Amino acid sequence: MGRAVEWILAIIGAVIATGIAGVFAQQQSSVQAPGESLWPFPGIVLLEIALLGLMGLVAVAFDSGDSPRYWGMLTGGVVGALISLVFLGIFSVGPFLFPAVLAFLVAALMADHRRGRRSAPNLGLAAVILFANAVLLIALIMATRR
Amino acid sequence: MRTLAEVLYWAGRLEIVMLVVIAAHAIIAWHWRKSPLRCWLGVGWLLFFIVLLPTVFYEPIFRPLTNGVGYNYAHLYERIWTDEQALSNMLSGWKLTLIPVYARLLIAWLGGLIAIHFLSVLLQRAAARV
Repeated sequence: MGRAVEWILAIIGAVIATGIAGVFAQQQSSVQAPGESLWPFPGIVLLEIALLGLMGLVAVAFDSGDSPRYWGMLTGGVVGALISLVFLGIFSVGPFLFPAVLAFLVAALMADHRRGRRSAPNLGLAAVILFANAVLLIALIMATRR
Repeated sequence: MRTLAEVLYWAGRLEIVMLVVIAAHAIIAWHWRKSPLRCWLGVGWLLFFIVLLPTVFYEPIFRPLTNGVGYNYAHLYERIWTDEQALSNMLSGWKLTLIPVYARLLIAWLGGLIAIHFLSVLLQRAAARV
């Protein structure tokens, strides 16, 4: 039962993340002036959101049986990266991504509980990825000066 | 002058302020790791703060920051750097807009963390009495 709920949460998270990336990409490209491009921003962010959704789904899917614990760590990393995107896009794409963060977070905690793992290391990794992703994106924003 | 204006410009961007909040929150949560209650309350406050930002704080923070012209337009570099008075513009922007706006945001966030600290102390004392 618990495993089924993890799957459902991961699918919900992946659908929200990829769906939001697609909808925002379509919306942004429709309001842009001719000659303007989605690249590098917001294209990079939207691509990252979609990829994170898919990575989260894959991580939850493989985090079963006696599979290595890094699948759980990957889910934690996805949660951290998504939280950083929620924060950085808090007045645009962020609020829409929040349900995906919650879905992957609950799936990660449930998987830790099911496999008898401590959640603290994965949450610590999520915090590191959160910070690293935010720094990387801000550095890219500064480099492209937008 | 231009470099200082540029530093002020970047320091006042919402992304940078959010990054500082995230980093400080992570450090505080790490510091609280030996008290599971406090640590989980810290995680809960971060998630609740995310909900508060685009709802409760939308008008008092987002509107003044963008000055009614949209977030992307308000942050376009050209709008600032074509102006010869870049530094004085940035300083007056900080004084009139950024400090009042970010003070509200940071006071609310810090208030939550302080409340968690005192709440967990009170709960620990109550548990010790029982």
